Amino acid sequence: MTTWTDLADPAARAAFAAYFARVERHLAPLPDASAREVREELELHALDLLAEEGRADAALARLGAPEDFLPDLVAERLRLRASKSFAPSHVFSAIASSARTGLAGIIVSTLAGFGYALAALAVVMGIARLVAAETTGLFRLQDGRLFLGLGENLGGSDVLGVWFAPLAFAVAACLYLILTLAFGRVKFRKPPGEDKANMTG
Amino acid sequence: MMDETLKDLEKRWRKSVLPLAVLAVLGKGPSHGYGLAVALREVLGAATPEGTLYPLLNGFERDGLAVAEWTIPESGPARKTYALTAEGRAVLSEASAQWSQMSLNLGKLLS
Repeated sequence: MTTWTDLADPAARAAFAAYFARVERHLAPLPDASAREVREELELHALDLLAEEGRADAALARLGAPEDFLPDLVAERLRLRASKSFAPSHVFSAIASSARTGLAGIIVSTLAGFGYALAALAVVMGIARLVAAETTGLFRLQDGRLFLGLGENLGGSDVLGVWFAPLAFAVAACLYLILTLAFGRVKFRKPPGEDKANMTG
Repeated sequence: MMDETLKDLEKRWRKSVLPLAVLAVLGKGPSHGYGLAVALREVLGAATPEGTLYPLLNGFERDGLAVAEWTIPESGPARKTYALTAEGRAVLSEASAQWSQMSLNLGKLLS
């Protein structure tokens, strides 16, 4: 037997269906091939446990609640994908997924989100400079202080001149690349078995 | 009360050695997830839900300590099989030495 849908016992099939529906929900953010790979691996493991245990509920309890181990796995795969593709949609999925993996995930995702917001602000400032050069840029005020202006003109001399927009775009690009690479490699998995449920043994 | 404390202690150290134990099992030869779980159960008992092996294996893959490929056994369905890389073997060797030293030191303390 290679799939739980072939199980003869309706109760066992129902238990597997319910369990793998939960698995599917957690794997939904992953690309199809990656999700299929994880699901098939878990299905085979569960069927082996069923052959050993004889009861579906016992077998699935031995495997553990998907909520306890899949969020980490999914978030890690999404972070790695984002760090390879650099696609903003992948970065967004990775942040959202990592934020669901506990306190460390929330902290890392928040910091990453803040960094990306800064990168976005730099892009906005670069564009604004091209549109309204007199109100956006780095200005030295009459009292000597530096003022980073966006849509506000306090007077003063323009420090960077035409270099402001290219520099803003360069800062945004560097920030985006560094953050994405770092986010893809950050490790904050909880120790194996540090879960809220299904401790056995 | 004492029994609970002992059980808790045992559970904690079994969990903490899980990554090393997984590396050690893979050091004996490639294995799929269920095979790993069976081998680990013999050594550590059912310390954690077996699904928790998968984030661990995923991390080993990401860190270059293990590689995975789908293999077709003589009978049964294709399986995702994990094997240690050269880097994984080096980490296992170093971690084993660390573990032996720690075990020796702890043994002295406990005797």
